[in-house]
Amino acid sequence: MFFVKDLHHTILLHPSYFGSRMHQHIEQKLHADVEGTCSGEYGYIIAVLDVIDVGVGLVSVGNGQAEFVTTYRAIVFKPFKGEVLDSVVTSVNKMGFFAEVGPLQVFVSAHLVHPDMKYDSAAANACFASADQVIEKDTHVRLKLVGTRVDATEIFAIGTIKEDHLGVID
Amino acid sequence: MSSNAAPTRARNVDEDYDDDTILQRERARLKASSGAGGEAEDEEDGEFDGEDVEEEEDEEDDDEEEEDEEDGRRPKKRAKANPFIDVEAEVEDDDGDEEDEEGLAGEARDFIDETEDAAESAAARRAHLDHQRLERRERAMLDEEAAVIADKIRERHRQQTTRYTGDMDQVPQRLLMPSVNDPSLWQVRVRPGRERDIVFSLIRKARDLEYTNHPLDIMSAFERSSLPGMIYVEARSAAHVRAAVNGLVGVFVSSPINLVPIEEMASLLRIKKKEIHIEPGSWVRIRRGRYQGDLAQVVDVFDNGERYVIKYIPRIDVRPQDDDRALGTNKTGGKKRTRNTLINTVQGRPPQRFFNAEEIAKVHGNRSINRTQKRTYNFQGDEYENGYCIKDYKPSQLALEDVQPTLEEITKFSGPSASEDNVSNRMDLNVIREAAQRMATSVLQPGDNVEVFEGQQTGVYGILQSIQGEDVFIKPTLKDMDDVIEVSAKSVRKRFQTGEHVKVMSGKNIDETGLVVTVEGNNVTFLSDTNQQEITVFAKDLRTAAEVGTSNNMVGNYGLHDFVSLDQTTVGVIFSTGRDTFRVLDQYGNVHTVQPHQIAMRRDSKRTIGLDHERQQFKAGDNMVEVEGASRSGVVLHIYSFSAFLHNRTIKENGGVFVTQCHNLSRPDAMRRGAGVRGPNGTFNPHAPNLNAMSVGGPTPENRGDRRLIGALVTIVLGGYKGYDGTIKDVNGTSFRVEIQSTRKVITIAQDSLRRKINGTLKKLDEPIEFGDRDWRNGAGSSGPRNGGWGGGGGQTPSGGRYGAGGRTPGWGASSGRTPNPYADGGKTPAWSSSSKTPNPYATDGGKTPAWSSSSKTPNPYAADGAKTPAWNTSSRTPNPYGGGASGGDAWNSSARTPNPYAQNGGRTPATGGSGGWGASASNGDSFGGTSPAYTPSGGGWSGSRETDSGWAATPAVSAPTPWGAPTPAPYSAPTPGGYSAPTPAPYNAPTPAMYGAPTPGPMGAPTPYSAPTPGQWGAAPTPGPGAGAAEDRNDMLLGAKDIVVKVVPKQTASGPEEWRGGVAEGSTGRIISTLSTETSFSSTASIMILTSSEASIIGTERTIPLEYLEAIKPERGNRAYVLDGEYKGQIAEIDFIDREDAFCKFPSGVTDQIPSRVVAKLYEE
Repeated sequence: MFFVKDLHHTILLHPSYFGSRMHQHIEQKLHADVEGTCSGEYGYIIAVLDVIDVGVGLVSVGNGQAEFVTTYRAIVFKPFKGEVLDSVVTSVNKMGFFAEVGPLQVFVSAHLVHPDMKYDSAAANACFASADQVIEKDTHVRLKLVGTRVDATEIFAIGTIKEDHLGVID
Repeated sequence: MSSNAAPTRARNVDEDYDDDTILQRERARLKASSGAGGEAEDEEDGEFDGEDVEEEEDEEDDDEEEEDEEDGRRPKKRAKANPFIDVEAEVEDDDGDEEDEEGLAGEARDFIDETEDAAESAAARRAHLDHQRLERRERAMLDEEAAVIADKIRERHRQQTTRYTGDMDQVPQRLLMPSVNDPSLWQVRVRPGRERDIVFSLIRKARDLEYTNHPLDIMSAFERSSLPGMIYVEARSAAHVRAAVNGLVGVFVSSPINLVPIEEMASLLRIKKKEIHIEPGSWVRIRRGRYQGDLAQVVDVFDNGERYVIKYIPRIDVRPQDDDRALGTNKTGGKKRTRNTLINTVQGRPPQRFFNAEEIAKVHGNRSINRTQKRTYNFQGDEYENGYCIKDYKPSQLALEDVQPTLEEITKFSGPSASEDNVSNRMDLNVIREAAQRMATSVLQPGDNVEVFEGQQTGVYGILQSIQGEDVFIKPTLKDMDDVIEVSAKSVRKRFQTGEHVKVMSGKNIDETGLVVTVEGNNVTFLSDTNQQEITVFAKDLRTAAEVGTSNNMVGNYGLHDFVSLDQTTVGVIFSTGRDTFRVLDQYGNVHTVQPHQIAMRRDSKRTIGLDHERQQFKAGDNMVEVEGASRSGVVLHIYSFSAFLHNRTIKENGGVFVTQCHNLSRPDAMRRGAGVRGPNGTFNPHAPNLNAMSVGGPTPENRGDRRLIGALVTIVLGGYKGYDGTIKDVNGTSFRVEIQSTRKVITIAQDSLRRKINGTLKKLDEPIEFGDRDWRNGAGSSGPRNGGWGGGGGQTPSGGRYGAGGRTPGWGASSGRTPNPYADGGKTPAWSSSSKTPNPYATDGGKTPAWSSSSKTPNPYAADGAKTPAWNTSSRTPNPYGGGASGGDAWNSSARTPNPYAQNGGRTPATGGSGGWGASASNGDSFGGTSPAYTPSGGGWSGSRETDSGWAATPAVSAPTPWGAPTPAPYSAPTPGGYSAPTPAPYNAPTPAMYGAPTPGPMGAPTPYSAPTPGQWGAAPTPGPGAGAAEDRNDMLLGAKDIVVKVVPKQTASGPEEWRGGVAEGSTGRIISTLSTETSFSSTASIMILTSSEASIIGTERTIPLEYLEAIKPERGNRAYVLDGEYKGQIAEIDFIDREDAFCKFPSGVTDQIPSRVVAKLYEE
């Protein structure tokens, strides 16, 4: 689920940046630092919407770098158990398939695929296929998250398509 | 066989038989045996033969050890026993037991040996025995009578006692405890494994000798299977025990016979009886032999649990040795021992495999297999059904407890018959479940999510509240159930839901973690975090867990961050441990997944010392920072050769471990400005000028390659990739990373192998090209390619760099870095033409000279001046433009025509014309120009800069003329301070004396110095030598001047114009009354009388103003003028004609001369 969230980020700035364009630089740095990262608490930070406050730079003793605690507003993506998401299949193996929802990787076990769909290793691309549907690489699949594992740097999720209205999206 | 002997035999094989009763019964038997003996006598012959046959059969079994002994003994026994067999077999048979056959035989032999000595002859002995037997029988009759009477009496009274004293049987127990008056218990050491045999031998011996002259003085004997190597004998003294065991095989007579303390006697006989329900379908394990540890299933139970029929997966040798195969058909005894000796060991046994008749027939021959009528096979004496081996086992040969079959074993077990043998399979599951539930309470914890799966509450799930014994209390999480329910722990299992993160607590997959994918009854399948594999385990072994991966950092002898050798050339550091694998980062940065056995050895780097970037020593445990690359910092874990392994918790890759070259490391405190404090936030501003580049005379910065070439299209002309086209992706020194266009592959290749592709022609990478951004290189001259734009700028115009203003101003540095030295190409582009025709000369010129192209981005007047730069260039070719006239003049003229304000302004005076020069030199970043006599016009330059919004262009202009910024703002006397000469000492110094030595002020050779920045050109410059006034500042010129009219202007500083704050408004004019030269770093001042000002109040007052804020006003035609500089310095002349460049002056001496207009100042006229 996406949220707009006010977040903080601490930036250490080398003295060589002090000057007229410092704020501009801090903003640049903020974008570079946080966009695309993942925190367990808030999920993936998709984009910085705006910088609310650059903060007051405090020069740290010893190295002359200034510390700015910036406040910014960002779009975050946090997956939840039970959430239904649209994904793109990235790989299929006999245990199931991996799909991506933006930055989030989801594994759908063969156990959580409808029993009609059988793994077909003989096909050119490994796939799960039933009479009318095929799940292979790059297929768009609607899935429901049944569990998430949150690490420091990534979120991993397990999904299911073994329910009504889930599965291949045409 | 006697009636009282039969039960004894059966019991003796029971391991778990209550030893208490053994003791009592043996006592009773010792008493009763005399009566029983004679009755059984007649049956003995037949019985013996029968047993012999049985032994033969036993021999067929794989109990070879027994055979060993028997083989050696049997003939002897038979030979000796013959004369007495009738008599002695009786004894043997009374207690006889199949499995104690040889012990008995030994006993009999011993016995016989003894009696042989005693007997005189067979006849005498027989007579004696007859008497004895008669006597015994009579006595037994008497005894029996008494016993019968006693029994009757007891029978009569017992009912009553039991009826009225329900608890009484506990009291006797206590009273029955042994006391000091009772016989003692003695512990005798025997050969382990033979305890039971010895006990039986002892009993037989006791019975045999009971009525001899030397009966054994022992009461009882027993052994405990839990105490191997010992038997216990009840007797009054140790001597009695010693006498009793003397001569028995297997007793260690030499070892002391120990008295068991009275308090321990009871515990020795206490039985911890465990009820083990073995029923068909139960799992057992085979204890010994080829099938040791193998899982087996009970098919049937015979003899009240004394014999089990079990089935198991056979291990048939499908590659028998030749003699072994021969044995299959020819079973002649004795040769059996030639069989592969290892086949019955755990190491050497064949793998488990279901019996396949065809396969076996192929190997062992058709005749080895016999088919029976019930679809079973006989092979080598064993029966096979459905692939399993069906065989009888005794309980002692099986492990009945703690079987704990694993899922794999059961899966394997139910292999071929899974479908047909549904009944037993269902039983399997029950048994597994039971086995799993046996530990139920030990795996459950309060707080666990559990589910009731059997009994009344089936289906209820909730949270475990507490455990009491075998029962658990569950708080259901169902809607309408609020009460805590109590159920048996056996009926409860842990409940997991799809998506939960779990950890395995026990079993093969211990410490694996993962997300639950599916739950089927008791089995939970989860996706492992570490290897993305699905693992199925029992729910009982799982626990929900938050952590990822294994908590265990040790696998085998190796632990996290250990330094290990993988092979002779590869070493690495373990950065993560799995359940039974490591991940190792080797010295090349590759990651290996290895198992402990793949690790050759652990290495020690405690004493290894590495040399860092500055050739300083460092060792493991030090904090180091990378000098180049990602500038990662970390603690040194290990050093190997030139590689260092570091660890930094914040790095996510490879568990924070990374490998780098030792010489790429530095101590964090040693990181100097040059190296920069880098890191995610600590990077230098890339636009800041390179401080290293300030001193051109110093060492050139490390050549890191020309990064500007990144993105360039190149063709590979050498090597295996010859002919390929590619794009430069990265540069490192002279090696380039090139992405091949056709294959998208990135390769590293030397500079020599690459050619740039420009308009279809190939050029070397370091060769200048016609357009764009390469001319800087040419212009840079001696400095060569630099590592950054700013560095290049510094190199090009050393004095500019030196002059700090440039160095300190990023904008300037950057742009000038990009701006090639205009001198280089300036000559090709007549500045005047371009500038004269267009207000923005770059538009046209930019294409040809990079200078313009770069400056063209900033449409500012300074750039316009830059456009004039070539003027200087031309002038450098004709070093004295004034002298030479034409070209230089053109240059000035052209600048005069450029639509820039100060040019206009200065159009009339030569000095102002110089301002064009200023601008030009400024844009070149040549602060040297700032010292030129054209100082005053340069004021125009900076005033122009105020109108521009381009930082870079303005800055140099400003910075250049700053006298204060200059090391020596000294006047004429020292116009070329050391600072100037420093950057390019040789070329620069050379002309300096010439400039000053040559006292030809007239020509105003100012241009020459401007052209100087590139030494090569400078070499040409000295020729004219008229640089006389070149290094003058305007204030220097004003020094000593008197009565000239000056204007108050802002001073030019590094940060831009700065107006005089001394109370005199800008634009005020005044007459110089006197000047004061300070000769020091203080600025010289002038006292002026204010003539005009925006503030009327100060008009007519006298003020002291630093010379930098003053600018001489140009005279007009017909005015009297004061010559500020040059040959006529200090003289007063009359202006005949003046334009922007030159003034024709008529001196009082009558001489009329042409001098630069900027060195003439208007004289105050009353």
